[in-house]
Amino acid sequence: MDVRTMLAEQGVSEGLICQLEDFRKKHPLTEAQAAKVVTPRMPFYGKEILEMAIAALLQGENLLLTGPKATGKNVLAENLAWLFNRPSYNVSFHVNTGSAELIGTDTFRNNQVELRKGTICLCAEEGAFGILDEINMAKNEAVSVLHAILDDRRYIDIPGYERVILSDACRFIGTMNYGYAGTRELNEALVSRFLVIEMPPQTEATLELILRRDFPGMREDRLEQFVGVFLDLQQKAANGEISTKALDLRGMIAAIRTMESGLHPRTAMGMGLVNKCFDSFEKDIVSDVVMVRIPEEWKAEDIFA
Amino acid sequence: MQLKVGRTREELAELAFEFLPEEAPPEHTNLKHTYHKDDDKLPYVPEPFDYIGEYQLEIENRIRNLVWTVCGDYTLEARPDLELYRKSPDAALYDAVKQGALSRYFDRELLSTYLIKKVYMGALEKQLVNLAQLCIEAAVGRRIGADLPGSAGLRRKAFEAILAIDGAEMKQHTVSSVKAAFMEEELGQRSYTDRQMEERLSELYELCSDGDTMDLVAKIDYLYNHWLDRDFVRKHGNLSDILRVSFDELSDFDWKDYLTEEMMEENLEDILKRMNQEMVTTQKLDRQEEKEKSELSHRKVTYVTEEELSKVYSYIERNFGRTWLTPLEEKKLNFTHCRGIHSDCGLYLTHGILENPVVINYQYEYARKQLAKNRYALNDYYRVVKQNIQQLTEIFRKTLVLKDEESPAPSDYGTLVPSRVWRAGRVSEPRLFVREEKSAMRRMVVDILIDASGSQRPRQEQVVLQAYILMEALSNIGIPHRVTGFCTFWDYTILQRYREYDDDRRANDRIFGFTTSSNNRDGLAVRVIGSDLLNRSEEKKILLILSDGRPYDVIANRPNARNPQPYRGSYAIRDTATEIRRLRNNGVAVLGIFAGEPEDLEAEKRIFGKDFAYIKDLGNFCKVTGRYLKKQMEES
Repeated sequence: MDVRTMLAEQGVSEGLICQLEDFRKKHPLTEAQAAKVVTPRMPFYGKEILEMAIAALLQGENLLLTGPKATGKNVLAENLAWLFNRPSYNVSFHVNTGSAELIGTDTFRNNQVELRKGTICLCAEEGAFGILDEINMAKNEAVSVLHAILDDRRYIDIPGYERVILSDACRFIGTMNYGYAGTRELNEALVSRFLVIEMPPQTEATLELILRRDFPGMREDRLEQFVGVFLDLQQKAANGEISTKALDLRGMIAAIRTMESGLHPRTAMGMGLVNKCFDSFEKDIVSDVVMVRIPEEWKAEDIFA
Repeated sequence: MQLKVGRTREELAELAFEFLPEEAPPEHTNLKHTYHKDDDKLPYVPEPFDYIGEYQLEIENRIRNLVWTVCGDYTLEARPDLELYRKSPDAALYDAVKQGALSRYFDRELLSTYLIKKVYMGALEKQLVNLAQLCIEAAVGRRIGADLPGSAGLRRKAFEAILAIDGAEMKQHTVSSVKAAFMEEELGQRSYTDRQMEERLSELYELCSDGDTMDLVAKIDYLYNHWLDRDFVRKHGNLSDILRVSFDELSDFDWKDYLTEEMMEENLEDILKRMNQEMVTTQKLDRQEEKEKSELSHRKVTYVTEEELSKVYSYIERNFGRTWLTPLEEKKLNFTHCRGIHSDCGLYLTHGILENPVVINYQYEYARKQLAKNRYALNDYYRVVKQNIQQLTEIFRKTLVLKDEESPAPSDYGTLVPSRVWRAGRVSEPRLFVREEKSAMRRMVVDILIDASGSQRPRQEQVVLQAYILMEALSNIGIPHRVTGFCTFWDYTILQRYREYDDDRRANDRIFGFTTSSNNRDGLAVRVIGSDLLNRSEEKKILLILSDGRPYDVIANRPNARNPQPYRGSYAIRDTATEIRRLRNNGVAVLGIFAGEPEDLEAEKRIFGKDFAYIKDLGNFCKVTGRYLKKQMEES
């Protein structure tokens, strides 16, 4: 897939595309770096969001993507790294993520103590995109590191070693699930270091594009029902009637894939969506949604023309 | 009689019977066990587990969700029909689909208004509604089947169920027989033979094409006038006459004859609602309403006039002390929490009459007396209380110290350990460094909710001491905790705050101002406290509820109050249990601490399920609660 065609297809403004191409020319890749550029699993659909994100990153800003589950936060982050032609590093935050993991710590190599670089440090040197997954789960120690690397100084001091200067091409993209049990709100100081994009819920058009892309042979009326199932679930989750467990686009795509192998559609949707709820009443609600959309009589071979 | 092993169930049942004393009269059926209806020889057949009764709220929610799925409008007020669900889940689910579909394609208000007007003009309500049901079925059934292909299967199953249960009965009446024939036709099992039925069906099938609400209304009107009352137009007027009826005329009409006994307080709006509901039903299977009726006739509801209502607030102020909320905050709080079962309730937050009295009145004096009494109780039990606090603190401290330790592990990176440097080059895995592995210690917050209703009065000093022990022990180790008492007076649920999360330990003293009165609406109190708790940033959240397992709030209904039922008995227990389950689902650990009468133990078990503690004696209070809290700390 070509960057220009993908963006032009979605109607992203010509000016932004040109600037993006300039950026790519200005920051060429070494061979080692090129190997780390990941082609995204699926393209991100959404003109406004793409324009916002590209404009912000071109100006050297860092991005924070917030939104409920299944709004494509990680897909967008992957897409951006690929559009800007940068390698990417993924950091997910847990209890033991601290400065040692992010920036680096001592290790013993070739008969001497040297720096074992952390992910952030690698990003800074290679001018890579750091994807800070579930950034709101970061503990205090990690947060203080993030404060330092995200502000305007653009360098990291590591005691005992040389200062690491952030490359011009290095950017950070944080993602966070908003209103998700067990996650904390981000503190203000951290948020102020990002430009924030609130990811919109999936629309019918995007879902159709996504499914059409993965399943070019699917019958139009069948596709419509699968999109309907997902939109219904999304609306239920937004209204707090069900949790987001069953709101799983990846799961639904996987389910449709098993239909390609001949599995009965209802059974497949059970595996991909319904059984992801472990509360039996929530399960009933989800299976009702599937029930009204996907009739028992549908066979796997009816799905694809 | 000899006993042998390996008997069948029947044999065992017989055996049990033989062991029964002869004089056991068969009328002894009012308690937990009931005699089998058909054969009064069989003793003690335990009541079957009432799944639907037990999970009423969940099933209602499921049906409601189905309606919403189909119509897409989450503000639509859907009314789940649980009795129908009991008979045939498929029929109930299909009704839900149809309710949604009706709102999706047609203007429901317009339709039900038409029906009311037609009744006003002299149509027979039952037959008209029955006919409307049939027409709506014909109008939306296939259409929704095309838009949501899965609903067609459900429709078939529902029809099959209805025909199986009611088929024979339906053939007796004009409209119902067409309905039955229509269902059979749709199922592809035609059984009628006469020409008249064929004509009627074909008239009906004209509806299956797309049309708007007015077409549907016109059709219902036409069919009513043709099938049921050929003289209607001459006697009462045609469709445009009906539609001209104004709302004022309707309101002035005496609807008494159309009201069932339990709906004495209903007005036009309620009839509209009922009409709105009934017209979607596929077929009203005969219901068992006796049970509900008896429940309703025993309702002990006091009606309160609007004037009295305005006095309630100031009365509450005088009895429980001023609130610290601004009117706006209070409104917002009510708006967020007083929903569903609790709509029309109010919340009132206060620090108590002793802290913030309006006037010095009897209540104030009573509270002061109780304060003294509570303090005396502390003196009397001082040793026990102190021991409890100490032991509980000790349990907490040990658990936390254990958790707090960082375990340094030899590693290939981290902080260099000079004493290990010699290993470089000499050992295959030198591990010259040490790395601190933090155990996933999480911060904790505790909320304590105390039932302060009248039923706790005999043991209020005990309750105070229990709360005090918890507060002191938690303060000793610096875990933020909040303490709230709750009771319900009229439609206000009063939450008295004794301590905020981050208060100094000196605030613990305020618990001695604890008094009890009035009713308790546990579900609402848990919901409010729980929502605050969920907003705390600590990862480990614990809610301790000190109660006597008897949610009881027979509130004074306002005129036209929407409160469906007084809050008590299994209804209240279920609501409270639902709230607790919801909190548990959100990761809050909820423990019920029960100090009530043994006969309420069963209810307490149903509310709290797995985690609840029965405190018979203050002496072992710390052991029981300590064990639970320790478990929670260790899990975190």
